[in-house]
Amino acid sequence: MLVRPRRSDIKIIIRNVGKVVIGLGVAMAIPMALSLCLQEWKPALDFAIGIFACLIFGMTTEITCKTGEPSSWGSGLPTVALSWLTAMVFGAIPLYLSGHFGSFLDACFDCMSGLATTGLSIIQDLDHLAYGTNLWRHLIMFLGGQGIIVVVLTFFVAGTSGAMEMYRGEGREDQILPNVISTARFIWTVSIVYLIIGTSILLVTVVNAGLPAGKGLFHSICLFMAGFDTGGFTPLSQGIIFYHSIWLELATILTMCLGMMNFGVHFSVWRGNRRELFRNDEMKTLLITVFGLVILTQVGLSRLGAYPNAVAMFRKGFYQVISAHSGTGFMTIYGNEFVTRWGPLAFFAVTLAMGFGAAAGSTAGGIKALRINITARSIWGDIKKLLSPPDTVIVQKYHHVRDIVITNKLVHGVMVITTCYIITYIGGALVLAMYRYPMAEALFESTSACANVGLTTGITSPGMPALVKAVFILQMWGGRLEFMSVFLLIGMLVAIARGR
Amino acid sequence: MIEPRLTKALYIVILAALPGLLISWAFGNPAVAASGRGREVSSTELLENAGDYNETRVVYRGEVVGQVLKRGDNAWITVNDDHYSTKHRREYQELKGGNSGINIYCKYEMAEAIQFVGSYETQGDNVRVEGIFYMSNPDHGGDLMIEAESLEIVRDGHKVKGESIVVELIAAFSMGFIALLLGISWWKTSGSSLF
Repeated sequence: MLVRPRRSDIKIIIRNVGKVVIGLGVAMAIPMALSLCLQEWKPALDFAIGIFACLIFGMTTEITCKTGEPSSWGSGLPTVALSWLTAMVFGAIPLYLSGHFGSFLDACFDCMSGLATTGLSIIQDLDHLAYGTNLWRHLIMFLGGQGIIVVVLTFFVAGTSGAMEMYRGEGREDQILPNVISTARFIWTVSIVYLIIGTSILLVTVVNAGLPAGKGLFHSICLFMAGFDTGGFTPLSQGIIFYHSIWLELATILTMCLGMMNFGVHFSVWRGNRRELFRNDEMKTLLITVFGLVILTQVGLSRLGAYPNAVAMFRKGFYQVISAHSGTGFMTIYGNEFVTRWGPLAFFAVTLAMGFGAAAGSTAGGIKALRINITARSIWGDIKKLLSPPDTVIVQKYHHVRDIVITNKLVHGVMVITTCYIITYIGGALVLAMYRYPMAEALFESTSACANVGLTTGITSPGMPALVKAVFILQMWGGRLEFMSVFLLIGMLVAIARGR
Repeated sequence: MIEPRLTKALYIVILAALPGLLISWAFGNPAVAASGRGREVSSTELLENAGDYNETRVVYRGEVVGQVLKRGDNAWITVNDDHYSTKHRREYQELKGGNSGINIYCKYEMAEAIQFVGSYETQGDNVRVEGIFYMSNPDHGGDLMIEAESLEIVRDGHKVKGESIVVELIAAFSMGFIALLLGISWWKTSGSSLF
């Protein structure tokens, strides 16, 4: 039975959404400052309009949605889902005003793709885009990757009421520290430290690749934000191909690997517990799936003789599997090469890597390694049970920072989310198939959108049908939030519509 | 000595084959054409039929964008041949799809002539490149590229004139004023902190 939310709950939700939008507006000051420094006057004004729009919305919600009552259970998750949609609309304002998008829907598409760290893009003429607007594309990826709710928790929420629900609503599994606000602040501390170190490493590689220091700094900041947050936007349309640098490829692989790790593991390593890296069952699962899919890709590519030598084949194949598995979507090949040169086996391996995703509690999308591990263990447990005497009790555990017993409730939760992902992958593909896209490519693109990866065979383009753009936006939104927040928001809206 | 009738027959065969050879040169497999002079191609044509053009001589034109990446005595450049390669979006306010281009590897001395690379502020130089197209170059990590034998600038780039910002200016000031009024109202009535 759907419970109709109280009027005060709705007010709390809208007010919290307003806070998120104000936070987004504050973030727009960064690209605006860059635009002003570079004398990009029009983009600076686009950001000013964006900032004022956010402030007007936020202030209005602050004034009109005041309530003295505490939030009731269940308002946190719809807040998250609604915040992401609203942030998409407001974040798209400077993008649309830049004049590089055919419609506001297109700007919303890129904004959701950035926030959800997907990396699919339908921007037009990226190579002539202003620096400020380009920085905004990457910054929304960084904000979305860390979780915009985490941003709000860190800077805008004084109390912890409902905070845990909002934190979990963004698809984060682990509460690393006892207090959720401390956890959110820890995530930001880690991210900023990595940003400084990662940008420095990338700067060396891009300057070595031939970029001047100033432009190199811009590229390295953008690439770090896109890589660490497993996003996949790049400053230029050629993507990673533009740089022609093996060192940059290695540095981005390192960045993607850091991004695909669970923040719980990051925390353990930061606290000096380096053994966790090797003991963690999720890390082991990731290692196995990455290794298996790299082998599958190499077999597929070598059977077709797609590359002239083993080094080139490994370089391209390995990079694309890591990019797909981490949910980043950086490309060292042109999109149509997946279809024309990679052949069915390697193509399938990359699709599978995207669908699996990286670690839970990371910035990546997809089913996640932890869920694959639990599913595999529960299947193995059932087989063992069948082969054992009837009264045998089999207790299964997995290690993730600590030892955790696998219960039926846990397996049920895992199965529900996994099923949601699979249905959404297939559902999106069917919509594409309706428009006569080939099924294999449709499944690839749909998985890429829903698992927040960003690899494309070329289907994603400004000219694709509006319905497909809308479906991809929903997939990116649902996939990033792992569906539950979205379902609760829909349930709440239905309850309001029913009037009881 | 060859029989006159045989010589005559040989002439007829050659004359009959000549139109066929000309037709196949013009419309046939690019690999045949590329053994001689390069055939002018677009990036879309190269990407969609990479196998057909592999290791053949091609001619390619477009706008240099991004940056000339110097690598010792050589350089990498990205050359776009899309709609924006001749019309900067800020000057024409026209959108016609995404960017499309190919990466060119050339001697740095060839790239030295490039004065403008396409960006927000500039329309890049348009170049004509003749060279060998590789679907997957073994010397460059399997990259799809053109190794240039010659590069000439066919149209100079230029600084782009800034567009009018009056509408944006009015909109920003109006919205700023509304935001200020709301801020004052919220400050007076609320008393509570956002934080």
